[in-house]
Amino acid sequence: MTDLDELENKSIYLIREAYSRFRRIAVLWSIGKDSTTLVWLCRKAFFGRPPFPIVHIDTGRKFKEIYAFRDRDAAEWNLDLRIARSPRAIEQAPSFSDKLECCTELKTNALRRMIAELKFDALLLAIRRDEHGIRAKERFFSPRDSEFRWNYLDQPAELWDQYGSTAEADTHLRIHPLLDWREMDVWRYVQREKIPLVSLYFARNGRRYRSIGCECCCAPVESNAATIDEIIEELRTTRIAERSGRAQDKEQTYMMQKLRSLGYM
Amino acid sequence: MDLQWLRVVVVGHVDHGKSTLIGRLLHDSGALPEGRIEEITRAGAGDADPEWALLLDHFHEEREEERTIDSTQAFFATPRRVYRIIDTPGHREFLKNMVTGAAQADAAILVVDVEAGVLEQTRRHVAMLDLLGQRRAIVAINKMDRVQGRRGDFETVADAARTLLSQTRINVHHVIPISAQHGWNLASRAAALSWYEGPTLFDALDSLAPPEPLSNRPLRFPIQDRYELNGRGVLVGRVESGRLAQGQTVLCLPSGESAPIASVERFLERRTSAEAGESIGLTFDGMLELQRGAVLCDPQSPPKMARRIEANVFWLAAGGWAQGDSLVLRCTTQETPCGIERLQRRINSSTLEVIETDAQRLEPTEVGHVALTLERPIAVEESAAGGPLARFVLLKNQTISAGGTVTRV
Repeated sequence: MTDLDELENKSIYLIREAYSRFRRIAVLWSIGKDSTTLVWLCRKAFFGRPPFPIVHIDTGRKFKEIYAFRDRDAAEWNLDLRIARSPRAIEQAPSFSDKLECCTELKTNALRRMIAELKFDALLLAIRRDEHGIRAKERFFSPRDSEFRWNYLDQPAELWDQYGSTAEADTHLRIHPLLDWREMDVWRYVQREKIPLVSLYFARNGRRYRSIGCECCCAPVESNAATIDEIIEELRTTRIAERSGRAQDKEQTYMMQKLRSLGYM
Repeated sequence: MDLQWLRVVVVGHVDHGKSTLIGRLLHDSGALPEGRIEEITRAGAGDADPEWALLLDHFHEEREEERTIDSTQAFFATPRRVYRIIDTPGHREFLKNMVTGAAQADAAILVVDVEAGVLEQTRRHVAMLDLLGQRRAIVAINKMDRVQGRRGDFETVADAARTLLSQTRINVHHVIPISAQHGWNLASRAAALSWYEGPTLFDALDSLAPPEPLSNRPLRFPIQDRYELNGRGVLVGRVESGRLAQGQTVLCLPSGESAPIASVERFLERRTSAEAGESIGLTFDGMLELQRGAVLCDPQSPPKMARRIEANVFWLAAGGWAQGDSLVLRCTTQETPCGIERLQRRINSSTLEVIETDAQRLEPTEVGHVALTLERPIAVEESAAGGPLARFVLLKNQTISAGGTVTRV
């Protein structure tokens, strides 16, 4: 087995474990490369169509390319796509005081309502350890309390592929099948599997996005990498951090910790 | 473009320099993105040297208290392969986090402070590695700069570490004098340690062989779930050990039925076989009742079905265990309520002293030699034989509270 086979098989194991334990689960699909890879792995785990919803949190501020790509792939892959939106928060967005409030209102709270409505016991998310030092500390199965909080100072033990569950009815689990993957592994896997990705990742006029989300909070990096091969080559030598273009991580010290302890992805 | 991976856990007593070592390894291997050195120099105490541990310790509380709370992972590459380095907390109260990290590793680096020597958590971590089945360690005697690189100081602590490890099944691959803070003997050698002729830490890591593949062991395929696909039942799971192929007859436990595999299923692939580590689906023409918790295995060397096992159990979760607590045992996808029938010996996991015999309770961080009674029989193996069916976890109040290895079936 190659290293990519090992990562793929472990992710499929985790996805199946999540479904086997909880049944009422969903995948969060931001349409970025990681969550698109996760959706792809869910298709593999279930031999085609995942038997649960694929949730897209729509902040109303995503790149137009993201919406077009989402609708095309969802139809082609026959996904049970659900869109979580908070119309009122989208309207108020221009007056939010800072990015912490904006991310919390548009993303975390939209997700909160969808979980309450559809009564999910667990959510699959495509976070990776190498994205951020806070994410590196995560468990594969990570409990959230009824207030969505992550009790990061007292995480449950996880060993030998045995994962925790939650005891109370109003809690949920965040499940992280891609936790062990690196940015480079995702790209090599996308290349191997020929997974379609949104065009924003590929350079045009000397710039490309390395990490995507809301248009207002994403800055492109200088790059001429217009193909997957070129991106992989670029990643071999770059010293620029993947999320360097993501504004919400950087506004304050410990911003990611604050966001995540409030239930951010 | 296949890569070779090795997962290495760094363990040792609090403040002996585990996070500092990893931070410095990341730097010396060239894995750090732009601006990180400035960040950890600024966020640190304000002196000129970078605070390497800040590359790993990301929680506000960890930085304030200057101690690692939870285990984390970072990556770096040498020309030989990619390392996933697992940092673990050295405090006794965070042992469950240490175990969570250490259970994933292919090899270990034991860090010992040359001035402080082998201490309480050094011993406890070594005992945990041993129980977790870890068999390979490199010992790094750290903070050699504090003793001006003196060989005598190194030898004293190196001997103590060797003696400690010789009481376990862990093989010591190298004992290396280092200074994590200054990068001595990590990627390159140091003048102050010119008397040392062994490998640097990078070379020592690169000299470790890849882990033994589990595909040469007898077949074990615990069923994870059952899906309906085009009107047919597909049994999904991961081949935990061994190999399987279409047409091969497998024994199903606990039922005892045998049947040939009708097909091996992978999405978008044509497969007739699979090996250890692969998540696949299987179909059968008979055996339609199979579901999660059944184990398919090699009829020539099956595991044993047991309702009573003896085991070493290490307790991790707060609260510990007391006589009368109801527990659930999970071993691969098998699960059954169980009880500790007898706690023969209660052991301090650092000193290895027997605290009590025939005890009524087991506290966090302690190891117990126990006899477990299972409500339903499950397929298990003794840990001397190794393999996925020789280890289990115990849940109390739906929380993974202890790990264990089977000593006798």
